[in-house]
Amino acid sequence: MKELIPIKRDRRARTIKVLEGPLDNFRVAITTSMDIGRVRFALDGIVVDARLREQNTSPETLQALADQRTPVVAGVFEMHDGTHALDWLLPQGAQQPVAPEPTQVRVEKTWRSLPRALRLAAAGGLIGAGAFFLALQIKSVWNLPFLIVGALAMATLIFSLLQIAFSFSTLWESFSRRRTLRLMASVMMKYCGAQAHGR
Amino acid sequence: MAAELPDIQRVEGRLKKLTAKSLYKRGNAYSFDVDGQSMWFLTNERSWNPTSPFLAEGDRVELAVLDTPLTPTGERWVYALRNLEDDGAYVAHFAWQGTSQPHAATRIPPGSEHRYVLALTALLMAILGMGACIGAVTGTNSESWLFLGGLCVGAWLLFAVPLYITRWRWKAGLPTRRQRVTEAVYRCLDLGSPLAPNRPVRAV
Repeated sequence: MKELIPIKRDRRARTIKVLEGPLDNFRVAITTSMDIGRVRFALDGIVVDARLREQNTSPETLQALADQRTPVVAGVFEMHDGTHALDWLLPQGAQQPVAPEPTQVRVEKTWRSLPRALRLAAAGGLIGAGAFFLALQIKSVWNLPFLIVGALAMATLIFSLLQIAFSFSTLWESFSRRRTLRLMASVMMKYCGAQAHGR
Repeated sequence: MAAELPDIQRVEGRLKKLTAKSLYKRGNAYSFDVDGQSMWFLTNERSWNPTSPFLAEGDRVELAVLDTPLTPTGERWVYALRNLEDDGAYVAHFAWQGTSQPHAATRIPPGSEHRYVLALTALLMAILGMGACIGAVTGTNSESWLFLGGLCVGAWLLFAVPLYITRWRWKAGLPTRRQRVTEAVYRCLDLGSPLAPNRPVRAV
């Protein structure tokens, strides 16, 4: 272990650890398509979990590193339940680390996607309410199309409300854990140098 | 004593032909071959909380398996799985919800009854709160409010009292049939007692 930094007051993580060595016992979990890219490996004698969807890589990249036994330096969070989660990983000789999107970029993306979701929710709600109102007013077989339109609009409304909820949870996550995330970014800068994109 | 416990067999081997299939609301199903026998392992995984078992092709595992095949094609039913690669132990509990067959184990994992009772309490409180709001807006009389309250209290008692009584009897040494099946599963994989396992066990 190269470094161990305790974290005060974080919901998820207890410490930040920087580990080095080759990837041992590399395994790719068989999962449903919902959380594809779950891998687990031993690094420096510690079992590390990674969800490569966050790092935007495929398991094959890490599999190649494990097969060639390339030494890597990796930053992991030790969670409160004792498991270790990978945050970034720098293979020896590589310029760019395998790392998740910088927090700043993710927050900006989320803010940019919000107005569209809000517009969709407003349109869905208005059209749905109007269609249901008309369907209740018209006393003939012709109210069936209005009911269908109303149901579609309500489905759109629910979809965009879910999207808004997920956006807010992302924003809250990056705000409430900002100290931890900034600390991890500075640790990554220290090991990966200035050419790594900052967070 | 009731009828005999089901035949639980300990199988060791490597996972072959491992596939995961989503059962939508009921969780995930893993099917694999060990020692040339095909098996099913049903788990309950919520898509927003990925705590599903970590199983990879070729892992060395120990299984507690029901000895009698349930399907005509001869697939076996897995009670519990211990992955020797990272020493994770997984015991299936949620797959038994909705079955009352003689080989079923406990539906609610040992040690998590308070969580279920708290969730039910929160749900009933929310229903009561909504009823109170609707009653305040529409100005209904207190009789329907009493009816709703009585219904909620009755539902809470129907769920919580039997659960706590059976768990208390288990701790006192009088397990029910399902609880004895769970004990047999834990004994089969050397996990200790279900009430005090000797290693971290994840209920799936």
